[in-house]
Amino acid sequence: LGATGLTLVFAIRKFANFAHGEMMTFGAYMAFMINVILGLHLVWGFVFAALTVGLLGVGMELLVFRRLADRGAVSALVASIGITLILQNVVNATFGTSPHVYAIVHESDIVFLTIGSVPLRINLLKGILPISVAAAMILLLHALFTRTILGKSMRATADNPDLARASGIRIRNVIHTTWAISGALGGLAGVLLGIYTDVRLGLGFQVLLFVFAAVIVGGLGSPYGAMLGGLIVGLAIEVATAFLAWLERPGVLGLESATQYRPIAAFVIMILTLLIRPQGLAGGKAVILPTSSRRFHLPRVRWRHGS
Amino acid sequence: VTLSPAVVDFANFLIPASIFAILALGLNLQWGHTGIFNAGVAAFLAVGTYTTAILITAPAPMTDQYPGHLGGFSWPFWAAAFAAMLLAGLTGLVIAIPILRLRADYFAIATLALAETIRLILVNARGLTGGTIGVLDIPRPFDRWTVGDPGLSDAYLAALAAGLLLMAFLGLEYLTRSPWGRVLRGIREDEEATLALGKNTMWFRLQAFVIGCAVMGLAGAILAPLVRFLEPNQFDPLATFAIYVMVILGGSGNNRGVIFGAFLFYSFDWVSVRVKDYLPEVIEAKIAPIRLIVIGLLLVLLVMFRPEGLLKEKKNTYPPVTR
Repeated sequence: LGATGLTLVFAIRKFANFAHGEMMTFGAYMAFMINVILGLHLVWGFVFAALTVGLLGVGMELLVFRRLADRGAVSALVASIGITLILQNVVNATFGTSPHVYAIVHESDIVFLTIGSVPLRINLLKGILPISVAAAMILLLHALFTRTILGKSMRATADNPDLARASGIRIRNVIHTTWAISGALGGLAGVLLGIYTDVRLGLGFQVLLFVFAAVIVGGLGSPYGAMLGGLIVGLAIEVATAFLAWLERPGVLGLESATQYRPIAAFVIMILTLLIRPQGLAGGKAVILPTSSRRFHLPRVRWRHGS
Repeated sequence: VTLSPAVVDFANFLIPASIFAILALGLNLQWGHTGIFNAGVAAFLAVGTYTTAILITAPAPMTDQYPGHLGGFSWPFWAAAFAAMLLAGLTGLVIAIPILRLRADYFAIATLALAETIRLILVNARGLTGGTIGVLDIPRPFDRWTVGDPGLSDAYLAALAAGLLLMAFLGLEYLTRSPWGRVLRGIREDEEATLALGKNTMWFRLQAFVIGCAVMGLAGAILAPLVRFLEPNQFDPLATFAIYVMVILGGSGNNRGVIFGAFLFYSFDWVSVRVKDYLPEVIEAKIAPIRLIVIGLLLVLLVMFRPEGLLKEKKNTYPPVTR
């Protein structure tokens, strides 16, 4: 979910939004406010988180990113880092640094399948809820992109803003909607993360790099690619954990606490993707390398001085 | 020798400010002059700091609480600082070779991932870095003459830091004013055109990146004796962006400007710690997040309204060639 939200903004605005992680954290805290402080059901927390973070996204666009639109990807990137700092510490100043938990019952794992004598356990809340929410959102998004005028205008704007404007699409509205959807998805992802671990500072920033990895592996700007990328990155981390656990055994390498290095697997996959297939698995012709470096192997012209 | 408290106070201001200024100079070579967006400053600082700390510490007795780490070489400071620069530069070289071709925002993500990787290594490679306990009892280069006088020790270290800052400034100023620096600015403004002029832009970018990383390693070499003990949490990947504020605030592309930016920024930091006692309790408890909110706000506002910084980069005009 987080990856999908991030990739949407990238598709339209063409910059990497570092603040997306903190938008997720913000969503998690909003749901915490509704759920624990006001004592409502967590479902309302989800709704409120999606709404507030969606609004936050639109606000960021209106206040900051709209004014930086013609100044290139890096200006917007730096601004999004500034917003990261602001959001993280507004949350810190308001809610304090100690982690919180939602007022929900953490049910114990249930056995849903037994193969031989090995029971496969799954936790209703931590395992099934994220998957079902994600699946529902993906279906909704798919319907949005393919069945509605709005979805089509979003795709058109992502493809070629000038052409979209010439065809009578109100680009500004499309951009705002995209931010709202991206923010809402980020908010939902934040609440799910909060359920999975607990609601703490830097919650979103911790996973931001994985989210970037998923987005890049899947192909920037492609929502379906982002979903696929999320799956691949998750799988890679699991495989790497098994491999590192094997390295940890004294007979093999005896490398101490090797499994702690498992996040690196996601980074390696990300960088490999950037080098081998920079457009990602599902990406079209995204321009990731500046044209000059694609021509890196041009023979160097040597000038003879004084001639 | 007893120094007046004001001198010691000034020394305590000068050391961190110089470290920040050296970091900002290193970043300025990469970002200000060449346009390389390095989001992993914390990583290169960490490499430099840990290298120095491991090389200059004396052998420590192993206890249950302090299981020890690689170290106990008792190198002289100068040699360790040189090694720190070398290793930080080498780290930069290794990471740059695959990813330097990427566009700025992808490069930023990749270097941020590097910073997180280095932090993981600092936390988990206990045999190398002492893990979360860290490296303890880091000596200062002038400890022999300052036994029992912490004020004098601070003053000596401040002189050393200021001296190294001056060296870094002069060296980088020389480099960036040279034709080499002109090529870097050419790459920043228009890489295609620079390539068309027959410059191997990737090679120049690689040089600028590695030298910048080595300068950050030098900052780490001063940080190690300043803090006297190290632990991985001092190298939060987000800390990198404070250095960006300094560079952008001072004026990216202007070496004098970024030093000014670093000193101004650290003055703000310094004052915010000093005024803490005079603030109402409600604000005092929140001073750390409020500081960071101000940094974030500053970053956004600078990018929006004054991207060239306080001290603008001087337009380098060269006298016409006469034959």
